[in-house]
Amino acid sequence: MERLYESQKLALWYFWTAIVLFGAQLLFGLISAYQFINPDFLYGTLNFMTNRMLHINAMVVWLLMGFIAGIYWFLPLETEREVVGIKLGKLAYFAFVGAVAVVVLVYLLKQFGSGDFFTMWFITEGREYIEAPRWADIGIVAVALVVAYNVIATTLVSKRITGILGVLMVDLAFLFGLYLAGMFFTPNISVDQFWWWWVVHLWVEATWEVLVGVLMGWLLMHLLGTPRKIIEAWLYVEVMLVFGTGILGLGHHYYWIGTPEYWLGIGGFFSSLEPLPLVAMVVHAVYDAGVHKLKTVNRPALFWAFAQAFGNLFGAGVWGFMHTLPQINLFSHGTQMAAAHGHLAFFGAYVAANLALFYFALGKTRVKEGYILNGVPWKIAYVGMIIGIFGMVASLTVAGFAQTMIERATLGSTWEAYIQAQMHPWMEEAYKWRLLFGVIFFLSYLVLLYDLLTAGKRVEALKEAEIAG
Amino acid sequence: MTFLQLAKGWKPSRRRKLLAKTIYELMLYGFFFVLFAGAYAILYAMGRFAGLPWLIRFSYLFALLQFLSGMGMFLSNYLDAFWRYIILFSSVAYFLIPPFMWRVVEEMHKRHDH
Repeated sequence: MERLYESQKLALWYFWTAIVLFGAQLLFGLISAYQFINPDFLYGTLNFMTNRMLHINAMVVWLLMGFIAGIYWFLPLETEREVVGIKLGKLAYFAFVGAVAVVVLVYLLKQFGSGDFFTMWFITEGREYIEAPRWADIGIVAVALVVAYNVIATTLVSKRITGILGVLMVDLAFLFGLYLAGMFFTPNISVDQFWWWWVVHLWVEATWEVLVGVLMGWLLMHLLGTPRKIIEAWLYVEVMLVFGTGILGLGHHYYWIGTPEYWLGIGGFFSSLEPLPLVAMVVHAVYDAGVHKLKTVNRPALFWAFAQAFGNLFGAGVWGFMHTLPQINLFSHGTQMAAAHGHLAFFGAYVAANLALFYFALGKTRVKEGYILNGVPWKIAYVGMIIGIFGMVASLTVAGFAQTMIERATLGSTWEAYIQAQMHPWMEEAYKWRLLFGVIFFLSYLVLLYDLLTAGKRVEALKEAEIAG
Repeated sequence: MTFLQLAKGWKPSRRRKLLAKTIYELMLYGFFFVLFAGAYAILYAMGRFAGLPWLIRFSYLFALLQFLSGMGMFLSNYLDAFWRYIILFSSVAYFLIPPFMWRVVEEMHKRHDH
């Protein structure tokens, strides 16, 4: 086992916090899923809107924490030195965790307030997906700045500016800068939404994509020994593709919010091209899998890395393309079809990446030289989660089709049409199936948690017993 | 339309039903379009890596299916010419991406692995 840098110890704190929040995300998701079937459940105590908000916010925060963990894990390896502002980094960690705890408690106990500045600063900002109150917003920006400072300062002090670090530094500047776009209000709701999407879309489909590219690049270098030049070449290609399709693909969120009509053309054009690079990347994933014959000292990390490559194609590519053209999106926008796409895209692109990184770090801390991180529980969790997510997505897709056809295209998007669609068997049954697969996913998460807590320790104990025997 | 109208057996117009059918078909074509493109890419790459000509030939079946899915969208009168030609472009591009990418990946590894 390697001696850890302080930065890597900090990374482990972030990883564990992320995993706990992952569980919270699933728990709130399950409650929300049940509320679709029984809307009276916890009504007045923990309303659907609060559950949904916690489900999504927990996801955003735990994924972000996982990414920060990945940066703190690999940064000292890349720069071959301890991170410059490690004390500041630890302070930021405690501030981040404390802020998340306070925000969640306020969400649960207070839930909402009147439309004034007090509510905006201390209860919720009210914007979907980024509901955190203003003080917490400032905290998120501060944490992002600390991470950016640590990366830039450590890189400069080490005088080892690699291509990967260059991409990371630029990406962190965007990560910090774009969040500011969601921190001011304008009286015009269309203009307001215009900026809000800069955070929601450009974080997820631009800065996060590049950040994951950086982290997966480091992972492949250390896990499979992929040459740096190949990783860096691919990273530049990815940055180019993100700029080529992902940024202006933002336009698919601008279709129906009151922006000029040309966004229909821009958004539709670039969105329809978005799956092309995903298909291309799959070819490389198959090549890598073949070259290494799936042999590695850390099987769960490798398999989650492959799940990331293929999950991105299915979640973002297949489920995204089917309703990205404006002529179709006019009817499918905001239906369960969008939820199906969102669930699979986030799982494929980001959840799988985070789990790969976490397993890699665990392998380095728990497994002795010459041993392999493997076992049965991670396989159960892996298969269970994939079955769970595809089951949920399939159910939501059926519901989304029914909603698009019945509520929108056939009955004309009235309130009554909405109710008619909700009462349709294709929707009612789909919600039940979604809950069932949600439970499967949650049980798989529990197996994953068990594996993360015991992986390495369990295998080594077994090997030692074998040796002693 | 009200609940009362529905209760009395109100039926949506033929035009709206046709619209729903068109949207339904376009969504399905779109779904299968990228799904088959992905299947083609995966099988083609596996076939090339393992040196299995039959698998490469099998992958072309999915290439054909993705092209047909694309044609389903291209031939729909519901989409304007601009969108139909984007789909046509993508249909052809997906044909070429796996062989092209395979060459790029092979070349890249040849250059940097040693």
